[in-house]
Amino acid sequence: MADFFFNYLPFVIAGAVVVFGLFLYGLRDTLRLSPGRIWAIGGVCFRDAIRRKVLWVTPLAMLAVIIVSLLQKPVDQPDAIRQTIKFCFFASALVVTIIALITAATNLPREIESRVIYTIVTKPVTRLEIVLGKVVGFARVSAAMLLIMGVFTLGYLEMRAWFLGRQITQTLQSPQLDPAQRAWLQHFEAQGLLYSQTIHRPIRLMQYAGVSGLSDGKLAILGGAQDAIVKFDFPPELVNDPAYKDATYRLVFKVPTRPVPQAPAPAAGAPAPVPELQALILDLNAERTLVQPQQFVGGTGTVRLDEPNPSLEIPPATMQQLAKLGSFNIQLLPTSSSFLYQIPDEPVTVQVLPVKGGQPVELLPAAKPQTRGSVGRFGQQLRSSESGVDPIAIFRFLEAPVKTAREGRVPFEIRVGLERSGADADTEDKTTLQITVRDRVSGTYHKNDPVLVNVENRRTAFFTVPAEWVSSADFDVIVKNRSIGNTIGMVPSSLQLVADREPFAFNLFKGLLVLWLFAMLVAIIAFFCSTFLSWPIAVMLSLLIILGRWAAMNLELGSGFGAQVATDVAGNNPGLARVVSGSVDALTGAFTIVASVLPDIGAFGVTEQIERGATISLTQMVPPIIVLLVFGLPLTVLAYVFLRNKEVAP
Amino acid sequence: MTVETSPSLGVVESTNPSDAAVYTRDLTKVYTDFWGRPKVRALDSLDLTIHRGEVFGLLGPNGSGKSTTIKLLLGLIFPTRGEAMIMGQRCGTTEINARIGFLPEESYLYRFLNGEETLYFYGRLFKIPHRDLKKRVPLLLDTVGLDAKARKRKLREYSKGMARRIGLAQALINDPDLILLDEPTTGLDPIGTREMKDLIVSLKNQGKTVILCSHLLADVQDVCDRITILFRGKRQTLGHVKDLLQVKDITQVEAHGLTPQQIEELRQYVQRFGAAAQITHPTSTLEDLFIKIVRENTGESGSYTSSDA
Repeated sequence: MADFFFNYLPFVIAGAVVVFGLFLYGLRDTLRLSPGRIWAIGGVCFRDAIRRKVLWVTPLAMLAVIIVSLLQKPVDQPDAIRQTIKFCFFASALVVTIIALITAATNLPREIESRVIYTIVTKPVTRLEIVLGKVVGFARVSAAMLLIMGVFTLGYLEMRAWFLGRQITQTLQSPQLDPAQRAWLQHFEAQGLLYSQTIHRPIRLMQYAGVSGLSDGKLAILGGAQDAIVKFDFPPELVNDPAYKDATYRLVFKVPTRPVPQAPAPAAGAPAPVPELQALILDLNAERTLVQPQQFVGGTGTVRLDEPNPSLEIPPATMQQLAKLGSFNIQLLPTSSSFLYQIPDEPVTVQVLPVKGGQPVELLPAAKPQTRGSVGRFGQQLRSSESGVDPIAIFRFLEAPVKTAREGRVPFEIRVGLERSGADADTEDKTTLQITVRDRVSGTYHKNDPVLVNVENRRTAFFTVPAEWVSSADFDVIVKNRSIGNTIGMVPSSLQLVADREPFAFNLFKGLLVLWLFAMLVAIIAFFCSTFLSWPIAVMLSLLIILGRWAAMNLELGSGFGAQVATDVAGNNPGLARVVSGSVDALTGAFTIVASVLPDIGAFGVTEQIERGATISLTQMVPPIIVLLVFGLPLTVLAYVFLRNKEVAP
Repeated sequence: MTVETSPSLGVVESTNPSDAAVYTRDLTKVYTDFWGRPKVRALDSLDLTIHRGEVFGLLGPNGSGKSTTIKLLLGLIFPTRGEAMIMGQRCGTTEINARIGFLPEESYLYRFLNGEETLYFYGRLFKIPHRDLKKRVPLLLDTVGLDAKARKRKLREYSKGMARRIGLAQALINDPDLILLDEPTTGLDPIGTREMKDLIVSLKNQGKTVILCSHLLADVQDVCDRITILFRGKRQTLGHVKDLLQVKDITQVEAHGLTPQQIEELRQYVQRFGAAAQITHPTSTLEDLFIKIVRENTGESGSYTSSDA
């Protein structure tokens, strides 16, 4: 119940404010609401802004966009169009936000100052209608500006795309063109520079050693290159039971190993390799290490798997801390590159042995283990085939309906990082990947006719697969690295399926719609502030409310910030340092708490998506609407409550 | 409930607050500073009953509390103490606002709208159907004397007199029962002033209540049935204009076409009663003279319209 309450706290507060303001405090005014009057007030508010020539700022913004886009230094034509989209969208957002802020913050103070409000409030108009009318007016001003900027953006981009498209055609006629660059440009020549496509991302990225001949259902990982993550849920009754307070906690491993088939023989005199495994304990998301190997009893956290009953013991105090978290992951890190480690469904269990009384308990994994590549500079590393082992990366797609099949093939995009092996300095900055697909519904593995893709370091490459490979919507895309010596780095989103396409203009329209929602939020916040503050202060407070949360997230005001400031300010004076550190931490703590209840403007961030050509889905329109409802609605109601109690005669 | 016969036509005098056009009891307004400490006592325990159908003058020097009273009646500010009712209901409500018209001290209107747009906008706030507005707006503009050219001009281009006229038109858009006019003749030329006064009388004849707030005492004297004089936030006097201005120990006799000899005989006759008598020819007002000259020169006898800037 408490969890539910805190999860939905913003909704509860927003709802309470709205119910109180509209249905308890202002029921009479709510019942008298007249759309005609609201529209009339909104109309005058809109005409006020137009007559004040706020729209004249749009030609300035257009001019700025044209100048900046002509001065840009793009890598190639697709990059040029991306940058232009970014400029256009940034200019639109900037202009509409500033105008919404200034218009909304100054409107009411100006009407009170000029006493025009006298002739409004003395008419049969409720203060609620005045507030709503103003909001409608600001919405109309923002919509007009975005309409103008939108038409310009579309027209300018189409024109620029046409010129850049001609440049691409000319470039492609050059015989000296690098093949990868040629493939890249050919893709855009065929598809066009302005596009919008729905991207479907895999739900998971796994890696296995990739050795044939292993028994069914027991996939293996390669020592020194891959690992496995096993999730555990700690039973709450065990946490509270005093019998288990000082119990012994033992990780018991059941990981069969076998030598790598064609492993090079160890150097003469060197000890024969042994199958060792190191264990770490990670948090629920497998991102943060909670227990280092040296924190295990024995101080190494390493176990030899060729010995009987391999196990590791965790100190009870450490285990009790983990137990309080409820869930954690055990990372199995095979350390010997000469062995393959088979990962069954339960590669590790936790035995709990109470000191006196109570029964021994064995905790089993909460889910099937996840196997991954070791993490490098660009994500999970996928090695090339060597020593008879052919590591595979599996991108698992779930419910990925495809509507883009053209000539029987479905488009994919892949973008990976390349880590060159130090031994071969001449290795080029590109590599070849082999792609196959396994249908998870029918179990069919389409491996006889693999697709080969040449990839460059951190540049998107395009490939297609036969539509029937992915027709079931649940499938695994299996990637192998075919260039000896190169290691590629990938994350789950490195491989994307182009599931659907729609006109760029429609995507732009949706982006502008999100911007409009943002402008509404800004206007409502500014208008709310202007009901009790003079307009310059209202503008400042509005900026603080709008940017507060984003600033708190980006400033990284962690617990170490106070100590850092203290070192700079107090130098060698420990007393002063303590005071400074404490004060700064208290202030940053208070700021962080306040910032956490402010609107999350990240929900309105769509520029990057339009720039990348990714379709804004309808579900993505939901967070901005929620932020607008959760903050805009109660602030509108509060503005009404404040205005109703305000003496509008200066 | 006591109902008195009014000395003025159509005025219903009643002591019942719900019958009064405006009723205030102990109405007090104290302006405070930022910290809530009392700064100025703008209005102090004002008791006032304005009857339906009368033209009531609210007089006083600057800072006497006239504007504060008007603002309190309109709900622009809230009383510190006391109560104010209009037509038997708490003032400042939308129901009451629907029945009143207000011409502020200066015409505080949207300067970017033209005359017609202004009236359509205010008409929409009263939810007057567009069909009715199409009839009422030209009629009102005629009434206040704004010609076709002036109607299409932005208010920011209006002269002060034209601004007063459009201000008055917006105050009358809803055919109100109670009209509050704050300095209605400010900025108007003598003819405009006369027309305004005629209009006030005509409104009274239509049975409407008019509250007039003015510095120009002659205007008030001409049109008001009753007045109150405020000073330092307190009511100093209240009553019928005629009663307040009447000099009870002087008798005035008016006669047309007497010869100097007949005048001398009249003086001697009066002196027989032992009273000092002064017999002179009355003078017209400068306003009357001005209007006479203008009308003779324009050859008009009715109202004239305004399109001056």
